[in-house]
Amino acid sequence: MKPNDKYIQHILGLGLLVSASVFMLHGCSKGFLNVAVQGQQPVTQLWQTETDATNAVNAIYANLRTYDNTAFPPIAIESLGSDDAVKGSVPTDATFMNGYDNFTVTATEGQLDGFWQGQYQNINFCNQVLDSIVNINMDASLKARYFAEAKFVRAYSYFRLERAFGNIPLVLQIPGTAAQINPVQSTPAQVYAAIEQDLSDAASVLPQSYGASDVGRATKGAALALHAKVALYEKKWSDVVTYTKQVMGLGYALFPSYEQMFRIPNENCSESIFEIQCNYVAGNEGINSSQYSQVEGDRDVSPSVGWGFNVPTQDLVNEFEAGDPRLQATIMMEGTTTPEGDAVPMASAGAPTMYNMKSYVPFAQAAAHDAAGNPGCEQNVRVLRYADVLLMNAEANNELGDAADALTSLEMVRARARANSANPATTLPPVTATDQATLRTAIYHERRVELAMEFDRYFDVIRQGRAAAVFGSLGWKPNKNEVWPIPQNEIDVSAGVLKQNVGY
Amino acid sequence: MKKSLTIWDWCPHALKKALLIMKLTILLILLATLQVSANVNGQAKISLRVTQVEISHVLNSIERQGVYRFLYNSRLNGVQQKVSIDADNLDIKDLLRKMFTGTDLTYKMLDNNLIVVLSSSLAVQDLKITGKITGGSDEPLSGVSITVKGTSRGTTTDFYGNYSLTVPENATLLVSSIGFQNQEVAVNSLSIVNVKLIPSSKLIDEVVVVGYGTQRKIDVTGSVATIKGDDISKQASTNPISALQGKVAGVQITNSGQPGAAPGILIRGLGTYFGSTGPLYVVDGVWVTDVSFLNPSDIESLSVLKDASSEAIYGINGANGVVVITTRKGSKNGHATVTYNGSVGYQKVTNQVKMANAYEYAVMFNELGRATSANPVLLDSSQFGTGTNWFDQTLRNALITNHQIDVSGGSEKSTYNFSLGYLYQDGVLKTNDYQRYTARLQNDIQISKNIRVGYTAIGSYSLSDDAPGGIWHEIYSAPPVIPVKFADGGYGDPGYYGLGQSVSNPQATLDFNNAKSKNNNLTGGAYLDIKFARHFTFHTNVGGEYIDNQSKNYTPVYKATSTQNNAVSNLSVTSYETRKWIAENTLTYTNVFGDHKLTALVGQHADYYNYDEIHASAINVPDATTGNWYLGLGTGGAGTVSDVDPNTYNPAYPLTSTVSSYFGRVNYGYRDKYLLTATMRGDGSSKFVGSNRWGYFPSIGAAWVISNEDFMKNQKFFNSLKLKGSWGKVGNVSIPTFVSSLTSVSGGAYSVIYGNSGVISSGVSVAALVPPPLVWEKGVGTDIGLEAVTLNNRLTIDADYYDKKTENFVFQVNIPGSVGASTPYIITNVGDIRNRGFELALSWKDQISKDFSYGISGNVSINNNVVLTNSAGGQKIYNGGEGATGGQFTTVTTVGQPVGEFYGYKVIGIFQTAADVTNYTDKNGAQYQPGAQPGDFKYASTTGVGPITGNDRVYLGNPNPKYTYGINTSFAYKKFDLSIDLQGVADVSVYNANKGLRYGAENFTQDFYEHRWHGAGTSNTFPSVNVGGGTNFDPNSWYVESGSYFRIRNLQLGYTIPNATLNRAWIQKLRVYADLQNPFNFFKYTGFTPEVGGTPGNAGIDNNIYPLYATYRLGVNLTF
Repeated sequence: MKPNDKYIQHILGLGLLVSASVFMLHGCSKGFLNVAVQGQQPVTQLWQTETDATNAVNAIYANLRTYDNTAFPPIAIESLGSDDAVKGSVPTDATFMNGYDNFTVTATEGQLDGFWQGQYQNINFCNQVLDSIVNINMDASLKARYFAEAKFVRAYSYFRLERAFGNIPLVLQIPGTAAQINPVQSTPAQVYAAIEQDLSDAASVLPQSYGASDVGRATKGAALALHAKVALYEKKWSDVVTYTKQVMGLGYALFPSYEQMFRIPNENCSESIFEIQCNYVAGNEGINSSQYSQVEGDRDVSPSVGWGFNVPTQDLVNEFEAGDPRLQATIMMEGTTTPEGDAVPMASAGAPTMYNMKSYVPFAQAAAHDAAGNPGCEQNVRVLRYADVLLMNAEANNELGDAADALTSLEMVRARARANSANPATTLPPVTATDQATLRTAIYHERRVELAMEFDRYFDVIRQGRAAAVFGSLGWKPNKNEVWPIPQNEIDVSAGVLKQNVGY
Repeated sequence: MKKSLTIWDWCPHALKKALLIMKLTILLILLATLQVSANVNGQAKISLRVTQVEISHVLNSIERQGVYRFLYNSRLNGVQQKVSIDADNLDIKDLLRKMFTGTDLTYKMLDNNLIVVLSSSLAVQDLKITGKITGGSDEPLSGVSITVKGTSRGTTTDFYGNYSLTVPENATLLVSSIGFQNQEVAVNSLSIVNVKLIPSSKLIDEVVVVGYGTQRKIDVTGSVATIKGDDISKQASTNPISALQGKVAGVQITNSGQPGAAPGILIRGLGTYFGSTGPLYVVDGVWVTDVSFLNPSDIESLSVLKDASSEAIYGINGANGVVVITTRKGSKNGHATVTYNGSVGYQKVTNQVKMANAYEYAVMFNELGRATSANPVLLDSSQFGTGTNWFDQTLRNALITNHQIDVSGGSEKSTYNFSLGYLYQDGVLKTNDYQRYTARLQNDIQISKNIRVGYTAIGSYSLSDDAPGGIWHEIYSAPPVIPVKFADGGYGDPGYYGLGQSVSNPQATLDFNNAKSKNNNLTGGAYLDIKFARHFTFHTNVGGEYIDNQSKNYTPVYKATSTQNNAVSNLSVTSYETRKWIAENTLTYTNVFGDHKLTALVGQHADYYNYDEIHASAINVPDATTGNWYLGLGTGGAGTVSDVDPNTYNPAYPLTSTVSSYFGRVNYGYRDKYLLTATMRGDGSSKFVGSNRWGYFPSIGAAWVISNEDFMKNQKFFNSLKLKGSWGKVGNVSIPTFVSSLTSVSGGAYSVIYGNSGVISSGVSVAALVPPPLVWEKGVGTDIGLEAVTLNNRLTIDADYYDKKTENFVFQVNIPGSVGASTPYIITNVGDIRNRGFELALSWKDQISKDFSYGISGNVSINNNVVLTNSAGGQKIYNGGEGATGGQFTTVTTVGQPVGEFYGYKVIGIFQTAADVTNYTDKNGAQYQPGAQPGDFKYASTTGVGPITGNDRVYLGNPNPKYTYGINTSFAYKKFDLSIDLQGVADVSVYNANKGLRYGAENFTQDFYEHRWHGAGTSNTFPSVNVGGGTNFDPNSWYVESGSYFRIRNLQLGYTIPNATLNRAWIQKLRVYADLQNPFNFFKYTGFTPEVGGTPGNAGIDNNIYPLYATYRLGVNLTF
């Protein structure tokens, strides 16, 4: 053994000893075990600045795009039960959705829980804003507006939950205690009261409109329009008239072209009151998350633009009056060509022959955005629009016996459609009946065709008390199907605190 | 060695003597160590022709032929005598006799072809000799008895293993110690006689690796099982842990068929729910959580620490068991040994599931159409024959080949071991290929008498062409009516037949799948040992692990079918990096006071762990046929880079955690009869906050070696008998990092663009519930065991009873959806789980004749897993959403039941007619299943109240096997060796989710076709084809099947080619073998394999499982 080796070995040994000591000292030092949170912003750093408040409000709007808010769950809960739409796709595809068409669905079906969780996630983001930005030192009027925006979305989400499930827990703050985390169900009256409170609060603060960089945020008009709709469900006719009249004084106008109103360039147009803001940014899968257009898109188009669910029925086609231009604007039929120039392919075996035109995005544009997102992910979801307000106004006025005002509002809606028709002289003649029952039928009809495939028909018919008559042949049963079952997963997780709805 | 001989003549006399002593010492050591490389006993013939050459040189020449070694004192006059030899294929004895004629030399043949050359005329005189006695790992042995053969003269070694004794010059020493084979050593006029003892082959006397050291097995008070490296590397398994299946009682291995995948391992049942359920692996002192990077051939030994007292020294990380792995070291025999192991073979899926053929599918498709639609699309079933068998189309007999070369050797001062390995494995799924390169360098250096250093560096590099996600379910569901390709060359398209979105053409999926991953792993450590002040050893080791993994997934622009197409190419690249270091210092004190033996150890440990992920993607990346894609070639500005997982948006990276620990252990023994071990460890982890940060883990164990009692001296029945008991506490730190900190959510999914402004407004908010501070999850275990060796050392019995409770187990508890959390659960301490069981291992070894020996060992374990308490308000913990179409919970974890038990409705039949449905009512006339159709499952009502609801669900089966067992046999007859290993599990359930995961036009099994309900009276056990409709897909007993299986795990026949046949002196050993792994499997389960695995709460759910395969190999082992 050469002496050199020995030195090297001693140095090696010494080096190890030193490094072990260094590591040991390092390991024993006080700070070694205190590892700061990485990669995520700790909540202790949140809720400090105005930017934090702004970001938290942004998250509320972003969350409205989720699958649970815009795709299968709302189709199942808010559309398929109606006589306007059926499951779609090919018969063997997603047969679990059939239970919503024929009312055999049981509490374990997954869309129920998806819808439930999707809405409560919105509510949580609203509660985060309402509870947490109180102490932020920021512009007071902006803070008040943020509160109002949060209250609007919270009310919207509770409204969707309430009409879907009837008996739901009312969570109005960030839950802390065990009882708050696992709350009991409130009565529909309590929920409606809370919704109305939120909407009154919101309407008193929210601005009528925003600058270009804030378009799409909740407005005074949105709060009032939603309030009117809530009152409609509660049959508070005079309130409906009050709120709709206020909206009618805010400068909204029906968009000249019914069909064009649903196209991307006309998002947030003069008729729009509230839309879920959806966009496409190349490569940003988070922003491109909306599947609203995709799940309802024509499944026979290639490259793929859709899955072909939630398709219109012949019953809905039949409802349209002859020459009503809204038929083509509502239902995309095989073998036709869209105003945008897309040839709609003939349906392949078993595939639907009709699709929801209102979710349509021109095929090439939709398909191009499939790579880092979903086809048609930039299509906004129209939640509230002026025609709806007019029809609510008409319905409430008629219920209050004010046929004249009812007819005025009704005529505004029909007049726009008439103007869009090929033959305005003969198409969609003005309704003239003043008899309450006849006028009611006319308004119901108008509401069905004007708002077809916009996720209102099913609950409209139920609130109007006609469900057994209209949906009975589909399997709808009174004293049960007014609401869907409470999701079994939620009952399970609540350890029985949540009670199932009657009949399920 | 050879070198020192060639310069022999130039050496001064004193040096000559020193070198000679060294040589002889080493040769003596060879006696003990060269078992492997020279265990061919002296039948080799010698051919030699020399003229007038000194006898010593002749002996050297013979040595060089590689079979015989000589031991002699160069002072012997005779060895300088010159002789002439003309030997042609002469027996060594004859040759020596001839050569020594005319000298006073004689010889004596010892074991292992060692020949001692002696002078017959030297006067017998007394000689003072000294020496050192060491054990199997070169550790000094104290208390070893050394006597002069045939006399009563003798002594014992001191603490350092040293002795001195006055003996006649030609005396033979008898060296004996418990746990080692007795050895006779000729003194041969030497003044220094060092002896390395060979550990006794008696199992109970083996030295085993335990936490922070080794112990004689007889001294172990806990439950430790040891597997030799050879038993691992001889198997076809490419993962070392996979090879343990059926070998160790209480260790349940669940293998995956995916090349490169690590198997699941549970030691003594499922003791934790959240995070990793696998054990801690300690590889040459470095702590790791996965050993896929290890070449099985590099393993010297593997110890499984099973009871809490053995594990407690690892405190924080010991809760799920500890596996201590020692890699191979070089030997001090002075010359290099090179071994080559190679094998080649193929793999083939076993028990392939028979799917319905095209005609059968069409019939069922039409039935489904009629059942679900008034206006169905129908297939003309008469136009279809057998159609496409998608499994045949996508599976293959897959090549596997494995090569390893290992060079080891060394001297008294330093040893080395170097190995290179290459594995190429095709998956049984076409295009799924895997390659692994491994390299390892190990070096130990004795710097001085008291200082030793060493290091191990293990590198591994693997490349994989990955299987597309969800491919197995896709193949299972692919309709046989669609051809692979249409006549026009286009892909067979489900859309052509109107089959919906839920099915696809798997061949197209494979053809357009471009997923590649590569993994670099560097693990290693260095240590330093310093002995001082007679009784102390200071040991320090510093090690670490660096893992760099990159996966690329490229989706080209393509149009294969109506549902399989892509308009814009997309490249996503994900990079994962793990960096870790560990530093440990221990101080050991050992002393013997008369009958009392004491070893005390104190130590300190610190480690640092950092894990990071980066995700990047770009679109419009051009398709590179060479298989390389680059983000930079994509559309400028279109890419994303994120440290957040784009699929979950959560959590964000990096994750760093640190641990600092202190520990101590005392081993006390009284006359080798009464043994006591006590340990204590305190761990602080950055994952816990405030007063919950530090956890303390004590343990105690005791053993009574009954066979060493005086009253047992005269019995012959038990060669060894020991009773032991232990208790200990261990911790589990495998919880997520930062779990106690409430963090915010952000990123694209939470950002919005208002109107058409194009400006992204970032969103940040809180989407979770404030998690409660976590406290330590602790395992508290008791073990009572019996070890016996009997029937003349032929039968070994190991029996253990254990009871281990995991207290405050950390669980992901579902929270009500009304909280609005984006992750619908919180991680919290929930309750206690108990695993209680019994293990029995029997081993029988016998040598029937010179030519025939055999061994049979069997082990069986019984484990009962149960949840004892639940502090989450008695709330059941549901999971298993992946097993059912709508995400319904398929498992429940609740008090009194095992973890993750299957849960759902009990099927009591099939509705035959509409009247059956109407008449199925409770006592008040309320229909139980009002929405049901004929052909649907009829569920039992447990509440007696209609309609059937979630309250009517019952427990359906336990995914945790109650029995696991293995039988391992080996037979050696002359040059042949045969081993047959059997293995199985029993009393376990599997949830066959494939049968129910239906979204549309998925295919069915042929079994389903034959047994399905298709009209009143056709079946009361199988539903109609509308399995995916109504409530048929709700979790129920029809999906739960027995997961018991029994298989021939390994069958290997080897033949060692005799050296005489080879006639190649440089080859020490050449063995060829044929090997079958998993060739025969026996089970009732209707899927590919009941060996399903899965995380707790989702375990045993068969959904998209990579099927198991059998491996058929031919191989060779070569040593030279």
